[in-house]
Amino acid sequence: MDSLISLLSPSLAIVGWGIAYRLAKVNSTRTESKSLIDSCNTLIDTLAEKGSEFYLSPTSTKGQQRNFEKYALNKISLLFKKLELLDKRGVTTKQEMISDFHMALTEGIPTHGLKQEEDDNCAHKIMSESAKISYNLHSQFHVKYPPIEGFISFKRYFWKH
Amino acid sequence: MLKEKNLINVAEDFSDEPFGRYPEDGPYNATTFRDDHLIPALKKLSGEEKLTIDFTGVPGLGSSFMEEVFGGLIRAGFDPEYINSIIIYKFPLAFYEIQAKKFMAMAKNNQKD
Repeated sequence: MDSLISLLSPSLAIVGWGIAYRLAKVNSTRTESKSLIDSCNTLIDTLAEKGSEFYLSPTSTKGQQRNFEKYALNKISLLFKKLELLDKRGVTTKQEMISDFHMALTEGIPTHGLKQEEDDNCAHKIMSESAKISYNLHSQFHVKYPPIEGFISFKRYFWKH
Repeated sequence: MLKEKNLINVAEDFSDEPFGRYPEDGPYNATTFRDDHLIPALKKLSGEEKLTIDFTGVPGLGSSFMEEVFGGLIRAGFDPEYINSIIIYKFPLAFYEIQAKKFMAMAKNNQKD
């Protein structure tokens, strides 16, 4: 009996350590992914804000248009690279969504200031396409990393990762 | 092995900062690229030859430029399926290829309407 207890104690300690290690690993991966998503959303919000500001201003020179396009393209490239990192973590964004956001931001640049209605449409499209990517990131995150709410979800969470 | 005539290196042969649709948008606009570089290169192809358009070195492309180049090809009389079968795309980011094909399909649909 004594030998069984002396064998059981270290075994339980090892299993306990294993569970704690695994949970810490899952938690840190979740935190890292969340932080990447937050940084993507900051980029998306900034782009949407600057894009709307550009299209809702009454006129722009060719120089201002070029500058805005360069700015938008740089930020989109950065966003794309961050989304690629998230993709490797299982939080995927369809290429079409990025393409549509890019189109909303840059397609109307050279004709900005010619027709107010078209400029207004561009601003609205930017807001709706940016919202689609943001929402998709959050919903994908909840699918990939569901919150632990009880023993059953704890078990599912534990075995999934 | 690609022959020189089968490659357009956009950054070297045209500009690393293409912008706009029409000549009034600036010297490195989409119409000039399409009419002076892309269409002549397509017309030089024979048989099973393919054309590579390499955008390496171009940090980014505006959608207005993309639409005028690829949608414009369809408006100039080219067929999207033919273009997709002979052009090898090398874009800085993967979603540009989806966008190029989308613009060609949209231009084709607009012709039907």
